[in-house]
Amino acid sequence: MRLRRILIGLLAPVFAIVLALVVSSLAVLLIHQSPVAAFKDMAQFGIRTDSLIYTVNTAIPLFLSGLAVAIGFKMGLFNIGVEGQYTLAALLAAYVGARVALPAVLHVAFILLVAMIVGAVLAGAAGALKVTRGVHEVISTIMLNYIALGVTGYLLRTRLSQHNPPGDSVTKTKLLPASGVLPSLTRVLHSLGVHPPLGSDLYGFLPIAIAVGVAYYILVWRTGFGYDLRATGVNAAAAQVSGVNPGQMIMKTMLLSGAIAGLVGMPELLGVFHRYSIEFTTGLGFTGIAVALVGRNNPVGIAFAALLFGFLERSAQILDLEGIPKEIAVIMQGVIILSVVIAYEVVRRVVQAQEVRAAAEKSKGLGPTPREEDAA
Amino acid sequence: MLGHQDARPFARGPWIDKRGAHQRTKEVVEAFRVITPGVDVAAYALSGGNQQKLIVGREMAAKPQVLIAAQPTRGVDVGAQASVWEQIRQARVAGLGVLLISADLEELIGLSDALWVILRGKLVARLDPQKVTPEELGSYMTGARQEEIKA
Amino acid sequence: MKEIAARRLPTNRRGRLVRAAMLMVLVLLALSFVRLVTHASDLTSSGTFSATLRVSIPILLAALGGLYAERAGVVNIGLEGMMILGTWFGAWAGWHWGPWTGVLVGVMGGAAGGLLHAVATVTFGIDHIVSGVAINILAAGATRFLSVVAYTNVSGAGITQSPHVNGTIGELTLPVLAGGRFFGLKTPDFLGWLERQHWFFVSDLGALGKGLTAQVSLLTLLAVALIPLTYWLLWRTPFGLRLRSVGEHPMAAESLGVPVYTMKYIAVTISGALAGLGGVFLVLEEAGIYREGQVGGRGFIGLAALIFGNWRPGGVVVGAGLFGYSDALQLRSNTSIHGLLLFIAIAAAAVGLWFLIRSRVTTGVAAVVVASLVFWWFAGTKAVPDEFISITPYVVTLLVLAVAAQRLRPPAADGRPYRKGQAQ
Repeated sequence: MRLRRILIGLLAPVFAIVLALVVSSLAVLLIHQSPVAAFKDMAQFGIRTDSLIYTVNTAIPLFLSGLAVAIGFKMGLFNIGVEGQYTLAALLAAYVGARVALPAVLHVAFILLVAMIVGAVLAGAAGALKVTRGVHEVISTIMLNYIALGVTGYLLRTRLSQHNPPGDSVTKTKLLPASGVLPSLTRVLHSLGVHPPLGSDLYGFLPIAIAVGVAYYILVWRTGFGYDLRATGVNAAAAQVSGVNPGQMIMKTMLLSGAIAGLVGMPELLGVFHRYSIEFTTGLGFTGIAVALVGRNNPVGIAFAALLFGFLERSAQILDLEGIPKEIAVIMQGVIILSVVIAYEVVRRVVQAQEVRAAAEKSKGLGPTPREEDAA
Repeated sequence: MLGHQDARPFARGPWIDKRGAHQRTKEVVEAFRVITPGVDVAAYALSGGNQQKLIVGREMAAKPQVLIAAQPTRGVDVGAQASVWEQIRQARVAGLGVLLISADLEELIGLSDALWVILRGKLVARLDPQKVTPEELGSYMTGARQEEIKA
Repeated sequence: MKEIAARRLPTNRRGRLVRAAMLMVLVLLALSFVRLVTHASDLTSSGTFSATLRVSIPILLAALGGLYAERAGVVNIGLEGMMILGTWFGAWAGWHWGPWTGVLVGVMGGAAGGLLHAVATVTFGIDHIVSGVAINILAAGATRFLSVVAYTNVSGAGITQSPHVNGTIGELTLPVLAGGRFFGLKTPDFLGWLERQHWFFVSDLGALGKGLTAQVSLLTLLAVALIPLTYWLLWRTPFGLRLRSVGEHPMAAESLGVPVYTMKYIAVTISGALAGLGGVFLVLEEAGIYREGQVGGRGFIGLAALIFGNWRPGGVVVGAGLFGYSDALQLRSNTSIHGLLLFIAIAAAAVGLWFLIRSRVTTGVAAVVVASLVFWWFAGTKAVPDEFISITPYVVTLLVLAVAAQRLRPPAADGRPYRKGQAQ
């Protein structure tokens, strides 16, 4: 029975991927190229060791972004502001981190803490607006996005950047001291017998990201708070009757979501750049929404979705050499998102109907069971 | 476990006790004769009557001192209705205070020790369920008949 | 269950119109005052008002699109994506076949997005916001890809922008009052003359008039005409009544024979078409090209205008005008935004007073605190940093929603997926 459930659960994403392949094949045919050759190239390029490492590295911030969005989704809230939250958080964390000196582990923890607080404050602002003034969080988080990005640009340009040596035109914050650096996992890989080519470093943030994912699972599925959160997402009115304070729940969820969002820029900050500049990756906030949707708001699904998107992005890079626009990966992403969402809905209805039928079967012969709606 | 998710047996401190929840659900299913293919089935899959039995069982199993039952058998099939009535009677025997709110005449007369009628927010009648007929009760409920109430 | 609309204030149409007019006069007075004090003439120049008109149209169209959809009970977050589709298809068709064809194809592109949203939400019952967000992502990706397909090896274009549209939409200028040509003859520009006198309030009024009647594009006129058309369609025809009933109480509507699914499909497709028109307008009126990121959140601002406008065409106009004004101002000059700070301080103080009079102490005090902070910012600086200028419309949106959001009443069944046969 459980195996069947799992298989059915996989049905939707598989269907989505197949549909995405079909649509992108059509797109490739549109420009007179061969889809089969394109996919073959992508697959071959994608499973090279350095590609895999790149995929995982790309997936880590996407994973975190997906988690941030998902915790909101689980409660029925839409935090579309992850983009602004992680950008401002990364800037401030980089700036503050470069101005203190702490022993290594504490230093990293401090930087993470700053990032989480910034993200939480931004998301909390949207939450407060919703609770006190009834402003829908979709619009407020989107507006705060633009505002946060504007503020980040301003702060970077005027206050928080260092004086660059001549010839260096990239505005950036001061370099983090060595105690604030997270080493890569290359040595770990070596000890496992894997030898990636030079320049291909697996982010040291990976274990932290996994820990966040585990914490997310435990919080949402194993604590009373998580139960309240899920209950509010399923039926806010019933949850309120059962004792959940809606205003508090909204605030707590937004704060949590923002805190996780703040971490999205940390892998890059601690593992690659060691400072904040405009070279940071953008768009992770919006892709995170897609990752959460495809991953159906549970940590394992989100992890797979993040890896999938990372893989698509990487393997598509080879397509440029064949004259196929690599934007096809973006189209695939878009199609996957929409079709996953639709497929999940269809599968859910089928499963639901089946369960109802099974329960009805069970009670046959035990008395009349007329069709009933709201019995409570 | 909705409504009781912060107490035993469903929770221990901040953590949800899955085994405790499982156990309690099994007990409720058995005691209240909820018909379901299994304890793991989602509640929406059950028929309305069985959902209601489950909910009544959930509330009673929490050993309350007062139970407020609002329309407890509306839309519920006959078998489940009889089952719920029986549970309410037994709880009353065991000393549970039950506030029954209903529009079902049979239910009101059959279950109550005392009967009060509220119409348009005002108390309009205090009746003895042993003596009142369904027609009388109905006419008070619709306002066709009125009586002086000394509060 | 339903939110209570304006409690102690007049709810009949005439009362509302009078109040709105009075409010606008007050605002113009305040702006005029600020202009004189700060010499930020752009606050009330005809150029600014003209730009306001131009800039609010896309927001207005997006908001009208949202109106149709939400009045039928479907939340359309995907307006942004549908606008993006409108910009791309409008630019592409405009490049090939001229501006009006661009308009047509852009509208169709947006409508296609609307149709997709309708399929997802109506037929498949997907959560409206999830579908909208997915469509936004899909639209961004699709236009990227299409740009690569259509514009590589085309001079003056590339992945992120299209070549210039072939030709432009004509424009009109009102004769006599605004200096337009009358049968080929030049006519005096009365309003322009009035503006140049720099008299308190009267000149600003003149500038307002000129801004709204000089060099007005035909497309703008089309868009503006849609406002009374929408009002008439939705509130004065049987079709409109059916559509609105679907958004208020679909079960009742279905039991009376209204084809609920069909109505929703129509409404959402119209919604996409209007958003697409807004997108095309952006292309044709701004630079004549499609540029990636052009829409810049206007779909969402349109949604905010819809909410601010209490889901009515008249309110939507005010909302779009407000956001358009702040957007236009930030495009034109830095000093004006600095002057705007003073205006915001005055407005916040007035709002605070209003709340305090009605004994809403916390909100009143909060507003007064905001007013003082903003005034302190105004007095303490000479200019507003560039990054802050560009986020003015977003800040304004947030502020406006924060103040106004609670007294509004969306259609009762807005956002709820509807399954046939739910009628009980």
